[in-house]
Amino acid sequence: MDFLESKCSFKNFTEELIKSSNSFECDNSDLNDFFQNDCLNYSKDLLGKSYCFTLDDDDTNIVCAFTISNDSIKVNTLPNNRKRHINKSIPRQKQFKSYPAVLIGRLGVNKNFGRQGIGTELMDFIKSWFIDKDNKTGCRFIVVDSYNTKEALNYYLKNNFHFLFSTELQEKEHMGLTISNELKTRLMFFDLINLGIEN
Amino acid sequence: MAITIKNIPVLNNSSAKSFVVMADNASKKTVVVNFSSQVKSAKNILEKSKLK
Repeated sequence: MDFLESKCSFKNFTEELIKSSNSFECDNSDLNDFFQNDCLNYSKDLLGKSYCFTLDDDDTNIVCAFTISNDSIKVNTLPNNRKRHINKSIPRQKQFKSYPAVLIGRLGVNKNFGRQGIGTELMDFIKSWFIDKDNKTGCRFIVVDSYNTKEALNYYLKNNFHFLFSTELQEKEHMGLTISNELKTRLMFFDLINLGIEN
Repeated sequence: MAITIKNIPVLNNSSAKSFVVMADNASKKTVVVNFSSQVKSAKNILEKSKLK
């Protein structure tokens, strides 16, 4: 995390910061649209909180940014036929297992700072933030709905994320899409229990 | 408008089963990646930012 630690500052991604900064441009039009037009609405509605790193030498330069929110991975392990039979007698909360998770809604690196490993530094920072003993709530997984592009998927795979659904077909079925529908995003997760801190 | 951030869906059937097995196995595992230096860096970043 050398670059982010020594050359940048971590900040809330606020309206004031956006107004006083150079335009934050990533190599993706949807990311640019989100950070320019949508992220403040998510913050206002308490649906997602955005953060960024600015360059210390020129704090009008936003190096990278991300949006996160609380979520959970809920699993229903009863098969359909058994579910119909049993569901009547089991309280709803007992039918599900739920793992607390943080959802990365968006994550982007300024295109002027690409190809320097900053994306991996940023992911290491997010992972560290949520396993730190000072973290106020339990969080087992990081989940992201990655753009279904080679570059984005490779980034998350390189950072040891796994697909929540093993195949695109399985994910399409789960999302109610037909085979011919395009799957624009893929859900991926990282298990924070795989990371340890020495005392 | 950018793509809406969607919630994590409830997993069912085979995807649910394989996920629970993976999570249970990971909980039992004793070998983990030492992330101490990254956590230390993150603490330094947070102290500098004054965000907690």
